[in-house]
Amino acid sequence: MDLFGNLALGLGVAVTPLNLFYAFVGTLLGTLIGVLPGIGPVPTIAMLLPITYYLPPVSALIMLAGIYYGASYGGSTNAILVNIPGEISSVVTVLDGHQMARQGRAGAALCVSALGSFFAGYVATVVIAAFAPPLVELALKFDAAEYFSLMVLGLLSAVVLAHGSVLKAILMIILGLLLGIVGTDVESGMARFSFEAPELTDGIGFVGLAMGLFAFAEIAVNLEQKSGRHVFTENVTGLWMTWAEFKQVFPAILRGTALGTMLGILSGGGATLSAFASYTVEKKLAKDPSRFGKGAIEGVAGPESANNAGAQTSFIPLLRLGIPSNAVMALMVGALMIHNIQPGPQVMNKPPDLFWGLIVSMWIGNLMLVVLNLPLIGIWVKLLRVPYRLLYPAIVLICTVGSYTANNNVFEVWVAIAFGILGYIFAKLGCEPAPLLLGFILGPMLEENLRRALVLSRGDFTVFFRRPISLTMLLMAAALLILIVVPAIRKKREEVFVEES
Amino acid sequence: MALAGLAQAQTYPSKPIRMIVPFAPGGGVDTTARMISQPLAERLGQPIAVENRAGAGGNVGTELAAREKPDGYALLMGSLSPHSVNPYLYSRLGFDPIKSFTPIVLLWTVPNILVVPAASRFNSAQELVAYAKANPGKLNFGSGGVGSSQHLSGVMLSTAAKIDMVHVAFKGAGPAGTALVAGHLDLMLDTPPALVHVAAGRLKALAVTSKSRNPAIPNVPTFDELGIPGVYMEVWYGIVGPAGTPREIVNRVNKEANAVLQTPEIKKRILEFAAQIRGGTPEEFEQFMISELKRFADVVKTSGAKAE
Repeated sequence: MDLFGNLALGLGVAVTPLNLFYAFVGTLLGTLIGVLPGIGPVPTIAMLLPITYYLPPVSALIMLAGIYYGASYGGSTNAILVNIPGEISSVVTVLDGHQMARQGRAGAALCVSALGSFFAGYVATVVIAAFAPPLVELALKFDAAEYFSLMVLGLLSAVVLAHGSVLKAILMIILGLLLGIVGTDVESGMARFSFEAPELTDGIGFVGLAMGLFAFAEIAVNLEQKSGRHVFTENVTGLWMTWAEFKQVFPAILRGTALGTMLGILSGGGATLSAFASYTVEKKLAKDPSRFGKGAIEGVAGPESANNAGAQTSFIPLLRLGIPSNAVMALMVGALMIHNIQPGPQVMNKPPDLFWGLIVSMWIGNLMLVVLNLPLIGIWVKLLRVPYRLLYPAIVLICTVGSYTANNNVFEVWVAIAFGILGYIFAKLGCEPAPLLLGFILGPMLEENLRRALVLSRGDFTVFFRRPISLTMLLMAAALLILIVVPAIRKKREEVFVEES
Repeated sequence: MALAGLAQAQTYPSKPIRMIVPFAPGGGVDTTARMISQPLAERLGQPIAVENRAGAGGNVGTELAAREKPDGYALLMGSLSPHSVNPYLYSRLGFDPIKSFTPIVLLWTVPNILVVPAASRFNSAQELVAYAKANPGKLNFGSGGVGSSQHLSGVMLSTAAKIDMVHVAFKGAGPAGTALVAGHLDLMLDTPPALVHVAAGRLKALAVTSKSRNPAIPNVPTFDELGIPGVYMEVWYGIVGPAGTPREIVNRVNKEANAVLQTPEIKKRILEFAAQIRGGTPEEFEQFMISELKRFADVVKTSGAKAE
């Protein structure tokens, strides 16, 4: 009953014309910047922080939260329409979302992405409201050893991302791991493989890498085709999902929401994993996994829901402990402090109107997102009918500007070009870039946590097996490995039998 | 030349000013720049645009600022890492921490605080030191990275108290703070944001690394008081311009910044950050920068940190 009373209080705070207005402005701004790759929510929120000084605290937070949701949804729009994963979480959306767009089903992909995110956002918000304290205690149980085992599990699932050769996928993961080594070693502070370029001491930038491998490489491959240069099919079938599709995606949305909600609480890269994890689950559960990577709608629905649920529950560490789980959350802390509010457990208790106002505003923000974006789908889909001779230069231009603005540094543009060339070679060789990206993202986290766990255990490797959570995840990883390997072996045996008969 | 400089200074500022922040948005240097730029812009009569140029521990943006035209329209948010610590970590820097810049004004300094988890057996810094002496190499102290203020002040404490602790580096102070709150680490000499957890009862504050007590935490003793002298770590923030910035422009910005530091709004927010207002003349700031640079030579050497 207390929960409902509090929610009613929150409704009273958040649902005022003024706050609805700020929620709308925030989501609109967020969607717009999300569609421009490279300009993520971090610089936008940083730029808008001084403005929020003049707003009441609840309105300020509502607007900033709106930017956050909007940007993450805008990123998905990009991934689906033009094959640009502007942020880590949209790497997965690219896989099937862009394929759907090519088959004329961009509307359905955008629609399921919006509705999945909306549903996930709602559920995750309820989880925050009802279970935040015990969930935080669970998250605090994750030490370096647990994170290491979680990353092992995540990395193994990267094999599932590929729809072609398993061997090639593994090689791409290894290449990603190697690329992830570039940069400053956390344990010793030494710069590795930086070749005296100061920019490389921070590692290879994700934005440049992703834009090169995905956007630039795809444009290069398409330009090569002399005939049938129209990448996108002319017949766009319906802007909405069909009833059959809806029935197909609903379980995926449910599973994605559950996964994202759990992983989002973990501050050390859990939210990053959620979309990948959901994709793995969907592909493993599917009756016909071969559809994945060729426009499977569950491959968009699950990860998009997981992503948004994770984005939502990553508020938990911030609200309960005052610990920001990512850069956006760090800026939120800044916003709270401007208004004289020290984040932490007292945020939940002391001004209840603020906390519950924020919770309800998360609902409003997610609702605004759907209200704003469903009508926009028609416009986005029309964008795909723009002739390639206009669309491609525009994509190249936007990506170049996006690479530059990621760090206000031209270096990132060179990175994008270099990986564009590499991506073209990969396309020719039939190697998919998604596993590489996962290796690139998880590799540094894996190494960091492995070495930290060993520093803390003074070099004792059994620490990974002695801790129950860590052991559980390693066992799950072993099970996943068997799932991957056994079908491959069975296939070989079948081939043998075929030859014999 | 001098006349042209004077004429320029009399009309300064006649166009918007850029303030380069050599770190990503959200951190201490960025927060400081955003806090000071707005009231300072109001007094100077021109907007100040904060420009984040992150990379290589602040070196990328700092080098960039050193190469700007010294006309007062490109300022740098200077701080401890690039100017006092990085010269010892990196063998090749694209700037001289002192000579490439014109010091304008020291804004404020922020101490580190010795914090332990609430469930820790230690209730005072002396208890901690005594335990560390009896159990060398057993305690883990966290930091936001090699060469960070948490790392270097941990090294200072080890040297001053003659104890041996294991350094556990994280990517940024945030994750390190989480690990400390969760009890995965034994201690950390953390920056004031950690006080949130002290207030919430998840951490205990045992000592502060400034020479006098901090008004935000009047009950927490200094290391000097505890008989562990020599643990001084204060992260400083100050505005500098490229070398050769005209004297008149330096004086103008210095005057307005000092005035801003005396406003009640800034004073209040500074207290919330557990920072100490400094201000003063450009000459005092220059002397401060030189003495800090000298002081950290030994600390960094003892820490064994090297980036290249």
